[in-house]
Amino acid sequence: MVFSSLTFLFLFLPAVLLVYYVLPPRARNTVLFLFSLIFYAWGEPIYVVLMLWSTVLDYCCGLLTEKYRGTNKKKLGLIISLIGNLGLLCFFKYTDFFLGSFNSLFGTSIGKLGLPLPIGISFYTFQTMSYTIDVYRGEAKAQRNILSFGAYVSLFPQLIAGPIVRYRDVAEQLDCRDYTADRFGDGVKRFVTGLGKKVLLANNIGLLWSTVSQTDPARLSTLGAWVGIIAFAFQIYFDFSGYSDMAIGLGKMLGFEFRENFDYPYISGSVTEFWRRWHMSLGSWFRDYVYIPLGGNRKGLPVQLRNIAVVWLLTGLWHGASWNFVLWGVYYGLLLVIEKLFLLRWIKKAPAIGRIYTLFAVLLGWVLFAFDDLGAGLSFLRVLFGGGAGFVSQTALYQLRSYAVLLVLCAVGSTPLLKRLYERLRSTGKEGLVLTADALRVVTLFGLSLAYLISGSYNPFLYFRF
Amino acid sequence: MKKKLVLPILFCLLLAAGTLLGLILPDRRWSDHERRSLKQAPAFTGKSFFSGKYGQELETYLADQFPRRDGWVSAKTVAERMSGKPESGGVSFAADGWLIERHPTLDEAQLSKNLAALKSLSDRLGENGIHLTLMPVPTASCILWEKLPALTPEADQGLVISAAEEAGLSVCSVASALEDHRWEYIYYRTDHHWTSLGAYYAYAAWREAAGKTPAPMEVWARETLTERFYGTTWAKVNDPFALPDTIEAWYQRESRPVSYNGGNSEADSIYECKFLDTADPYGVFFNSNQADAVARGAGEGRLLILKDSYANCFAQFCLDDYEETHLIDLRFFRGSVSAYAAQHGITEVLVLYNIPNFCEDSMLAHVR
Repeated sequence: MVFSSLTFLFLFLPAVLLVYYVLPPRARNTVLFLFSLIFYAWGEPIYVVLMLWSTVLDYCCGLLTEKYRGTNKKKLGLIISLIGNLGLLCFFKYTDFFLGSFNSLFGTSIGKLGLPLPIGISFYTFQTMSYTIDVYRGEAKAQRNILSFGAYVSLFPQLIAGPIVRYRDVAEQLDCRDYTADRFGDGVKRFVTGLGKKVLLANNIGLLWSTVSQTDPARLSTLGAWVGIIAFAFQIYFDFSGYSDMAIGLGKMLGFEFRENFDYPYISGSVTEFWRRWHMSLGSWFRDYVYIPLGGNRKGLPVQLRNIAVVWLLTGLWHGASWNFVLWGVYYGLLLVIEKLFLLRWIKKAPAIGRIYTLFAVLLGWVLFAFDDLGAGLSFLRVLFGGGAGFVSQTALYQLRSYAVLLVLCAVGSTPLLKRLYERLRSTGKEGLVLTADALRVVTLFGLSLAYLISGSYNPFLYFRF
Repeated sequence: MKKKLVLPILFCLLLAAGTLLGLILPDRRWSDHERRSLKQAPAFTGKSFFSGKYGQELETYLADQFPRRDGWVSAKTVAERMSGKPESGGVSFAADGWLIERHPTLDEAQLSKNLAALKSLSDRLGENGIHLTLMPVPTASCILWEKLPALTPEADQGLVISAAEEAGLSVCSVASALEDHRWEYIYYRTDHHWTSLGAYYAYAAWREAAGKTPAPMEVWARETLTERFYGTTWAKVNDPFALPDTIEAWYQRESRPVSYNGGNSEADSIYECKFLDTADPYGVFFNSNQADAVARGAGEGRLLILKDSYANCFAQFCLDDYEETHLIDLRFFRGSVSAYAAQHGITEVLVLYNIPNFCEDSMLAHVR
């Protein structure tokens, strides 16, 4: 089930909220666990078994790790968990990719599995691994109540598209959390904002990208290609960050506080900064569980460069089992190394140039990301640099005029401008005015999103692939 | 009431209203706005749930049966227009309230098949002394281009006319006749068809091209059949501010008997007024789309029209120029046209389609 659906908004969510708040707090983890299973099973009735398997496995590994702490079997639970989770992830996500690459390298024709990717597997395997690792490191206590642990793994707000919630961040909240009207109200604002980002901005600007990407590159003009890839950049940002907003908002409504996942990435002054602002929960996961354990930057430049390479290869692969994602990861690894070596120092002297360069680099990155087929990606790149049907075409101008307002809205939405205006309003201390603004925002965004959901059949969700 | 409770209560009320109203209000079976049956509650079975089908059908059901669905859809259209979008669902928001169906590309591969098939039919009929004329009618997006939003890319429908000429067909182009009158009411504002007035100008051009005199405008009685016609392009965009269209009947004598489908049914008039209150008011001409229709007139010769729905409106003008006018819709007619022509003593054949339809209709390629 996706949040931006009528089934979720008018059947699932009211039912969860009702049951959750009618029952006493001690029953609420169980309510969450059961509803989360329904939420997951809605789209993937069979694969829910995998998630349950992952839950039981890590529940046991956590207990095992704690039991054998300080003995020579202290790593047993950790190793079982890593093999179990990575095995699951590799089998379902990467087997066909490896077989395909093997076949084309050696000219063999080994049959592929052809299994559909279980929704959210990249997210929940990372979460459960973080649990066992945290317990192993002594940063969290093992959870003894399997229902509470199940609620953590399957927590429906962030199950499908993150943010990746680390166990130690919510360990205390799992056992005891505050339910306040303020937090619920914040959750409402956050959820509705996310819904609007996804339904009003991402879905609609996505129509522009799908028109452009389906155009034969030989008939595409340079302007058209740039407009298209900018549309894709907006689509993926508002889609993904909108989904994170909805997750964080739902979390608040249920009494949880999750970490932020996006912090206006497109205003970054460097690629290094971009990755501190984009999908922050994934970046910090790799930093804490891969980069730093490998030695981080403490073992000299050569080791640090190797560590960056490893992290970015994995980041690329995490986003999808295909060579373009590997290339995309390598591309960012290289850019980060270049920035670390010298570019960052130069950029600091000219922040404006830094921003332009960052946007340019990120847009080129999206080309690699958007095309599974490397050949198609390359021909699109060629058009971006003048190798298409001229510089300007009537079609490109028509698309630009059709989407001008939406593009401007997206550009404004990518900056903290509205947030700052809102904060200025709050700082005046006029509570009635703030409340009116809040209520208006909720009703308008919710109403408009509803109008689009009811009348639109176009509602693809990009992050299902990961 | 405490201020911090406002948002939580507001949100819960919004959710509850949507949920409860959806449960209480009765389900609708049919939507006039969209001209289709609405999704009914799907049955829950283990099989449909595990295949994921139940989930999809439930979502469609909720969307189709949402309280005041038509209002929500209109709200979206208004929002889209306010955001400056010049089109929605393939329909341009053109000047003066026109909703014009767009045709950015034409199916060139199908076109050449259709032209080839038509050319060989024309040759076969020619052997029997029957002349075949093709009348490809441009649509509103071509003739009313000045009304389209600036920069709207449209296919050049004129290329089809020249392609037909190059294929060796005898072509009657009505493009310039329509262009000359493009500021008049020759296409419906809310529908993809031409009006009776538009069809009259084409009729006049066709008669003149054949060296005959068309019946002048003054001799026709013009009767308004309805003033509340909301057509197909309106249904596509659901524009709440659109003005309805008017459908006119043109005739010189009221009684014009017609028989449908090899004499299966007969009628005194070519206008079937029962259609005016349905979702398809344009069907008033010749009982919507029938496989074949034969009307008797006061003239000489027998005309066969191979056609799409554009001809239904056109045919009201030429009936009295012939002894018999036969209309054949290739989408429903199975059989040999040349055999039909021989059997019914046809003296002349007119192929009348709107241009995008002519390029797309795959049945034309099999005409024999």
